[in-house]
This record gives sequence, C-alpha cells and structure tokens, in this order.
Amino acid sequence: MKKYFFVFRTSLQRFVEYRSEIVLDIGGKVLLPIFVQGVLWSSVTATAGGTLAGYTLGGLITYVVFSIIIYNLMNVGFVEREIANAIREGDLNKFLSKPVDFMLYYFFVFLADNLPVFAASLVLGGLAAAFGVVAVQPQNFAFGITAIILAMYLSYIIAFLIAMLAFWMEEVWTLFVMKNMSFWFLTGQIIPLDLFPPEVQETMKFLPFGYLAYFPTKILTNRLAPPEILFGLTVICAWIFFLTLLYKLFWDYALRKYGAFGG
Amino acid sequence: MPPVITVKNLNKTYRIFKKQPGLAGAIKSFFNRQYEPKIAVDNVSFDIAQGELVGFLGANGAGKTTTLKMLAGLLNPTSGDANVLGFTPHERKNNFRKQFSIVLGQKNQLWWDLPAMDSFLLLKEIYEIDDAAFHAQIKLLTELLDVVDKLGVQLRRLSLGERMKMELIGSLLHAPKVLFLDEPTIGLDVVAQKSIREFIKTYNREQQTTILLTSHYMQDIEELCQRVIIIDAGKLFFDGPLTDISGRFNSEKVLTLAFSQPVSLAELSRFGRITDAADKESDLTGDTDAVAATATLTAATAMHVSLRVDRTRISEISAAILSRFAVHDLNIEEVPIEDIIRNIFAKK
Repeated sequence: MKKYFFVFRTSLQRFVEYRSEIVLDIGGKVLLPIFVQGVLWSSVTATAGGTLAGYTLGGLITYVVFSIIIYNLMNVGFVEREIANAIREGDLNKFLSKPVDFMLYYFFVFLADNLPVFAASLVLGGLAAAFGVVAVQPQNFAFGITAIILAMYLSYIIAFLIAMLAFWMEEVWTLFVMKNMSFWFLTGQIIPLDLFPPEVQETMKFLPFGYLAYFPTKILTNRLAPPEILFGLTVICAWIFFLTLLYKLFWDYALRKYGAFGG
Repeated sequence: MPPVITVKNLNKTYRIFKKQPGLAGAIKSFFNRQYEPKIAVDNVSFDIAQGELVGFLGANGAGKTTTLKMLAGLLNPTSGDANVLGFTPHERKNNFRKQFSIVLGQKNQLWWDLPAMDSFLLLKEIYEIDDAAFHAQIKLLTELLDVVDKLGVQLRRLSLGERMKMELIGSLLHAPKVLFLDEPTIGLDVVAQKSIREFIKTYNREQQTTILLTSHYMQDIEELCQRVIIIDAGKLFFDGPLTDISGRFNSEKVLTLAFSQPVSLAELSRFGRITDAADKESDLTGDTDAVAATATLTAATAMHVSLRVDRTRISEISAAILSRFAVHDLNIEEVPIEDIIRNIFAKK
C-alpha cells in the first residue's frame, strides 16, 4: 500500500505546481455555483410562497452549499480523461509492465486531485460551524464522512468503467459529457431528490446516483434518521461490491483482447 | 544454465477492421463490420541466454514490437509459448514484473511536469527498492550517463537525449535481469546516440543484464550486438552471429582501387559492378548502394574506383587487375551489413 501513498504524494505535488488552477477550481466550481443557485432558489421560493416541499429558502441554500461542495469531491474529470487516454494511446503499457495496479494507481491520483477541495471544504465547514451557521451532530458527521469516502470510490469506479470503453471506442469523451449532464440531476447536486415525485424517490434509493451528493448532504444537514442512513450505506456498499466485480471481469476480458497498439 | 528467454512457435494474429472506401462503403461497414486477420508474428522460435545482447531487426511492421510486447506480457500470444525468467509473461505476476523492464523509445514513462528524481522516487516505491540499493543504482547510472546535475530539472526542460537517458535510468533502477529496448536511439542526434550506445554496451558487460534491442540504426546493432535475430513479415528469417550475415546473404566483396593514371570504367566493369568512381579520392561519394550508383556513373574514366566482386574469385580478380592496370593502392572489404540487410528486405 505504501507505493500508492507515494502515488498520492507525487500527484499532489504535481497538482500543487498549478496553484492558479486550484484557486480557479475552488472559485469556479464551488463559489460561483453556490451563488447562482442561491439566486435561483430565492426567486423560486418567493413565487412558491416561502417554502418548497418542506424546504425554506435557508434550508435550500444550506442544501446547495453542502451538495455542491460534496459533489466536487466526486469530481473525476481529470482522471477519467487520463485513464481513457492511457488506454487509447498505449500508455497503459507502462503500467502493465510494472508491479503496480492501474486502477488503484489512478484512484490515488483522483484522491490527490481532490485533496485541495477536500481541505478547503473542511476549513469552510469548520468556520461555518464556529460561527453557528451549521450545526452537524457528531454522529452525523461521522456517518457523513464515511458516506463521502464510500461515494468517492463509487464515483471513481463508475468513471473507470466508462473510461474502459476506450478499449473499443475511438472517442469516449461524449460519454463523459453525457454522464456529467445526467449526474447533475440524478445525484441531487442541483435539485434535492425529495423534490421529485415519490415513485422516482423510491427508485433513486436503489440506484447509485443519489449517493454521490444527495445522501451525504442529507446526513450532514441532520435530515436523515439512523435507520435511513444505515440503509443508504448498505446500498452504497452493495453498488461498490457489484461495480468492482464488474470491473474485474471487464478488465480481465479487455486485457486478453487488448491490442497494445499505441506505439 | 537454462536460457533466460525461450520463445517457441509464437504466433500473434490481430483482427483488423476492414474499411471500405467512400461514404457508401462507410455506411455498409457501419451495419456489417468486416474484419480480416493480420498475422503479425508467425511461428517464431528462439532462445536467449543470460547476459546476451541480441539485436532484433526487421522492416517496419515486421513484427518486432509485437514480439517484444508479448515477451513483456503486454500482449497475449494467439498461440505458442513465451517464457521469460521462468514466467509466462502475459500472466503479469508481480515477481516477474520486478525483474524486467521495457523501454519503448517513443513513449515517456516518467512524469513530464516533475524533475526526473521525483519520478525515480515513485519508481523506487513501485518496485519496492531499498534505500541503499536505490542510491547506489542512481549514482552508478547518472555517472555512466553523465546526467548527475540534471536530476532536479523538470523533465520537459531536458533535451531529447537527456530525457532518453532519464528513461533508461528509470527502467534500470530495480536492476532488471532482462531489458527490452525498442528503438532507444530514435530521433536522437549523433552524439546522444553514441553515448546511449556506449552506455548500453558498458551496462550489459558489467551487469550481465540480458538485453533484446530493436533499432533502425544499423550502427546501434553493429556496435552492440554479436547476435542478431531478423524477422520478416512475422517470420524468423535469420538467427545467428552478426558476422554470419555477410557470408550467408552476400556473395560479394568490396574492392577499392586507386590508380596511378585514369582507367576506362568500361574495361574495369568486366571484373565487377562499379559502385563508385572519381578522379580524386575526396570526390568518392562513399555511396555503397550498388544498384543506385551504377546508374549515376557518367564519366568514362576515373582514378579511384570501388567495385563489387564475386567473393569466391576475389584473389583471381585482384591479380588480373593488378597485372593489367597501374594500381597505386588496393583494399578488400566486406559489404557493409546495413547494405546487405537493406537488400534482403528490398528483395521481398
């Protein structure tokens, strides 16, 4: 495992070289969307007469702040492109010829890529708690962090499976765009999933998407009871198990067929 | 001692997507994809012993890289067996991967944005090299390649030659027992080529690392390899000492003559094929390509001439020329291996 810690460290070092990008990341992907959504929801709740499906404007803004920050931790934009490129251009060779696991390697690159946002959100959250803006129950904080870490892996393995289609397809980036567009809605990043009709909500409980933003947000805003939390964590673990198994089968098959054409 | 690399009846067939020309063809193949098999490696067998430095030759697309990739476990063979250090490469066991290295000349292994040393430290962890061995190896390799002061420089700020040296260091940190080098000198200037060549030679001699090398530069092969394997259209064409190539695939020798007075080329051409002729020695083109040179010779006489002569009649012909012309100097040489190999591939 030590080698993967080193992958993490070296990647982090590489990302820190691009300091301006980190600032842009936090500004463009966190602060700006929070502002835009705040404006949006204030006009929506104003026309709806103050509350919307049990959310006040304050409640909605708290939701949005959490969900946007959390969803940013699931951001696989950098690694999914790298993985697809490595497969298509033949850089995969340099991993296959070394005693290192390609999937785990990029998981740690992904963690390093998201560490600045993670650190920034912890600081933000700490400040918010210190000023009494949010009050997360300690038990929910523990559950919330667990849910976030599991969801990060879930987000990564979904991206990895899609990136693996590069074994067969010339261009997978359209798939990434489609994924990102649908995830905007399906994960509850923009609209809380409990604003959807009950049947949709029921279905979403068994699908992986809501666990990438909606679920951790609801935990951290103290809106879920312990049985609901435990049920959710079980569903995440089931998806993780299933998708990891799928990855194993798919990966072995792909490598047997792999042309190693690039170069 | 058993060989380090054993290849037996190795085959690789790719499935190539057959595209038909034009829009109609594109639409047709959209609904009905047709594939055709392409045999990249065809029943190849050879053994390589520990410490050997073997040159692997062949035209583009002959199957060299495909074979190397099968030996490195990057490709599964279609059929046949490959065994490297007692392992089946495509199983990609960690124990196997810790004992070999592959350098693909056109691919970077190291991180572009980081100094080479940072990449090396990561490789140290990946290969689980202990501190003492790591530092000793870094010292040895950077000194041999003369890049001690370049370790802290971002890779993208290094010259192409320096980058290749760093790639080589990266591939040798774990002191692999087997090294596959695919075009290690490609695109480099003459000086860098030479220093990389010398390094490979020294490293092989001192560490007894088994090296299989492909290169487009015959000079690499001539200076480094005693044994060559030639592969052509996927098939093994020749496997043996470099010096045997001359005897087996070439029936001629090069006879270079300097005369005291101009001689008629027409008369001289009765003894062999003239490949080069000039009045002053410095005007010789040095062109050894017999076919091309004969066509461009226009002068009727010359003072300096090179000709290709049947090797079995070399002494008889030399004697005849010496008795007939006023010869000032005479030199008999083997045809350059580069020419022979070029001709072998040209005939196909």
